[in-house]
Amino acid sequence: MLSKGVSKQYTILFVLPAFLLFSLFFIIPNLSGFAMAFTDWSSYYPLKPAFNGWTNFVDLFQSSIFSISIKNTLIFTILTTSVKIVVGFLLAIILNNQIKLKHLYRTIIFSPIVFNPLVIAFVFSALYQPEFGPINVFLRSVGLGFLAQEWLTDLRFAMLSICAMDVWASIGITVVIFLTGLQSVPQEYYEAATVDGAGSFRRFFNITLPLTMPAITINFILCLIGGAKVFGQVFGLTNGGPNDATQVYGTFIFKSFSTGLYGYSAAAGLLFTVVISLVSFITLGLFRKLEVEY
Amino acid sequence: MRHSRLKSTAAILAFVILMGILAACGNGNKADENAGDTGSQASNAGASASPASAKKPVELVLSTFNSWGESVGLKNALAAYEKATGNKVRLDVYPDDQFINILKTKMSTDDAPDLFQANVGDGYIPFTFLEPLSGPWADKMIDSVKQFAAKDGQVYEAYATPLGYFGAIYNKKVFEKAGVKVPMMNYAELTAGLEKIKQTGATPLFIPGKEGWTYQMLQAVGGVYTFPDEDVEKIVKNEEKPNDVKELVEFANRMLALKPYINDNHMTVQIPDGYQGLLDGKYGMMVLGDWLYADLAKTDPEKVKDLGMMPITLGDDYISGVVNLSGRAFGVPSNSKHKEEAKELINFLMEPDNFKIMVAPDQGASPYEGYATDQNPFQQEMQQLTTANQIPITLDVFRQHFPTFNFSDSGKPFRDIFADKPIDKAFDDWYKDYAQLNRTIKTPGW
Repeated sequence: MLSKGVSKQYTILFVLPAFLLFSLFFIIPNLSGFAMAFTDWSSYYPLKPAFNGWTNFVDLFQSSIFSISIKNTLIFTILTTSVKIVVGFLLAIILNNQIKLKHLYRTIIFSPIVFNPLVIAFVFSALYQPEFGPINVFLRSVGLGFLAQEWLTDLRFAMLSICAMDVWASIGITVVIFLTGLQSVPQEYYEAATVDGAGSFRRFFNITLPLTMPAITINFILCLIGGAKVFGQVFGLTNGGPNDATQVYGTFIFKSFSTGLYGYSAAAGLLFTVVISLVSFITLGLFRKLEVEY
Repeated sequence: MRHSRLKSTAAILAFVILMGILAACGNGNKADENAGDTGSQASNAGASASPASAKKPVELVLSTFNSWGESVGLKNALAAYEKATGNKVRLDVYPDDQFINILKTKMSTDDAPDLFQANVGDGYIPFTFLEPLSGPWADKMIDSVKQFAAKDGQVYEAYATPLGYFGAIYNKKVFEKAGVKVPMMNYAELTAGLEKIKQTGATPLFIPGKEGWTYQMLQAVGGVYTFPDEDVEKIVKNEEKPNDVKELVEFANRMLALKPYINDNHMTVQIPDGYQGLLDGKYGMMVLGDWLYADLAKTDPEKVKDLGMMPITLGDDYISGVVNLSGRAFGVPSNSKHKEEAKELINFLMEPDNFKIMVAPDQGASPYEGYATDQNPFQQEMQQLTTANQIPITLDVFRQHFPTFNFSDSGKPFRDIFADKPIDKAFDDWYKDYAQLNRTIKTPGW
């Protein structure tokens, strides 16, 4: 058996390669991105970035497209998070009961997770096609032609259409996490509550909800971060159009970067990291208070 | 002692693993560099017209817009190149609305294609990304084209499309039925004409706004007068903002006043969505370029004879025939892996006979002196109307007045205005965007 000191040295040595790689490909690029955010680095003068203080950040807040992208990212995040949490929880409760073919339903609900959002976006762009797309064709064939819309180009529906696709594509993971939470609640609590005369609603609000709060917390944080990081869904469906109506933070950064404004894009990225980290920590803190020990 | 040896062994092992991984990461580039060197040597060897068999063939990647990649002429010309040299050319196409962004990103991240075909000019793909080009064709390039394909006397792009016109493509029968004479020489005649057409039941003006840039056409073609010379200088020096140019603001108001005459679904339709309607007389006109002639003729070879093309204006006493200089051009990224072969391909395509094959079926005046080209009926009518009515020929508003100034996205304010943003706000937002860009690119005065 190795002594404690030797064991500690081994630990460091085994961690070292991973740490070096992580530093090389993650920590150092991120730190350099942090520094880049305060320069005027661009494709026009790629080898001569100069320090420009807070200019990039001031420019960001003066840009109308930036404010549109923040607004749209918030709308997307709030809408998709709410729907995924509520519908996901309901689906998990249904699938947690003894219903027929529940394993098949679970597989069906989870299966879209395995596809890349960009691939799903291209499939949905065909579904949403106004003239020949299956959605409008179906609506027309059942006499609901008045509901057929220009799903991706009408300013009223474009963002909602993207949200709908995202909910379909990623609700599976939410359901799985809720199922795990529900299955970890000891059955005895329900039995005791039933003996005490508690009804379904009482059992749900006094047992299920508090004891699945860790699952809700994780789902909430994941949906929040996933929503804020949205990119492939929007890029594949509308690329931020029509007329920036669906521009989100991710596509804004991509657009700025591909215009050759590297420093500006880095500033947007840095701001994003700071905001998301703050929101995540605050949310985590709030939900932790609602969790109960058992 | 034993521990010390163990420590050293573990440290060396970690170092070897790390180096191994890093070397593996770097190998791809090395291989690419070698491939580039080989190709380059092959090209140099082949530069003195050696037979194709003497060269080691390379595969060139040519990136372009989805729609441009469909060009039969381009495919035929590339096939001729492949036959002549033994090299292969792979067309790498991207969605039209994403190509420029993707190309710039690829070039910025060292993933550039060997060559590309995009819109001509530093404003689309900055020349700082590109290799200088030369060849017999470069010396024959006409001055108005060179103004956009070259910088400081050095050519960076090879213009690869005949010169045509921007204007209003109109249905002659609709205009005859409404009793509207062409060309409509001023804004009063234009609005009167549109009103008469509306009375016949046709939609006077079709705007395919899903493409975004199409909203800008009304200004590009009908608003060349909107930047008087004295304002041009002040705008470039940042001494004046768009909202200070009264002609521009008046133009935007007039453009907005045309809304009752345009198709309701203008934000959601694309250019081809208007073809049949224009041919059938459902729409009176569409303001675009004469390159549409080939598509329209393909859609209906008979009804295309009912269509014509004319200059248009939203001014009171100004009209011009606008030459389209926004066409296709080839460029070679400076981080292309087969630079020499890419330049060789461009030189091949720019030879007079190959140029003719490449641009077919598009027609128009040649961008190179001494190259024989034909004109299509739209171009012939534009020429006839401008001559008969003594209408001057200009470039579009931005190329005419701001050949080197970068407005970022110059179509943005017009899209915003059509999406109901107040005019002054639309111009202010546009100013903020191009002010930021010009500060970044260190334009004097910004």
